[in-house]
Amino acid sequence: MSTILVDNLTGKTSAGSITVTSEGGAATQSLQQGLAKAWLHFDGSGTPSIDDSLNIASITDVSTALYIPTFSNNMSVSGGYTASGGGSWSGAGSFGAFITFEGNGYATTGVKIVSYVTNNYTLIEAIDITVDYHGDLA
Amino acid sequence: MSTLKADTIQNTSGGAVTLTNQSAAKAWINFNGTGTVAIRSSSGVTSISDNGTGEYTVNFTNSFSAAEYSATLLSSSGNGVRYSFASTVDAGFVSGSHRHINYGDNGGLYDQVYVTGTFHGDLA
Repeated sequence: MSTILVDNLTGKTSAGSITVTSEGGAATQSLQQGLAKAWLHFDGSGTPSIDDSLNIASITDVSTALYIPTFSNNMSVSGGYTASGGGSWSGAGSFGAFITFEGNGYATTGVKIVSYVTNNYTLIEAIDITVDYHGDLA
Repeated sequence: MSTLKADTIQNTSGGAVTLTNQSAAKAWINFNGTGTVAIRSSSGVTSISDNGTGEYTVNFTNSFSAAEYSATLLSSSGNGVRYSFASTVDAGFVSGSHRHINYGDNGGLYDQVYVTGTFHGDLA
């Protein structure tokens, strides 16, 4: 096995494009396209606080259980990226939480997150909320 | 600091390279699920099919090696109606495509303005 130690990878022909071979060897795919462009784990209770993140500059507390994480480096197209995630809540009954997004808020700078408790669809400020983002950076 | 410039990276046998402690998504999509479904942005996806109200099939450019890949899905009405979520359809895990469905807070099925999915696993 050979290992290359390097700090940066850049496409030779096009700086933003490096092709990698699939695990099964039958396909090739863009390395950059597959990488998560941002991810976030934060505590949504009270004043939201970021536990760990990539490419997240800050998080805004909009109102109860509504948040807007803001990217450090923006996406290239509004509405042209994916956001996926989930949450957990430590309240009575220990029900889980799920999150969804307000579609009108799909801006290049971030998208509004809404957190619900799973048993009755009420807004809940979950203590562990995770989100990952895929798409093209500007 | 060193920079390596390359168009294609393979392992020494011509196969998939190992990225230390990293795993790239093999496909992702953001599409409008209302009316005539339309992809806004995607990677590793050739097309989507509208199977009926709230149900769609995402067709991958390259198939997964098996049906046991990861799919994370979300949906949003885009009009301030926040109660919506997406789930994999029963028997929706096949290697070349993925079927999923959007629910509202009343358990009904809804076409949603924003539907997103991210898929991880091993490609064929």
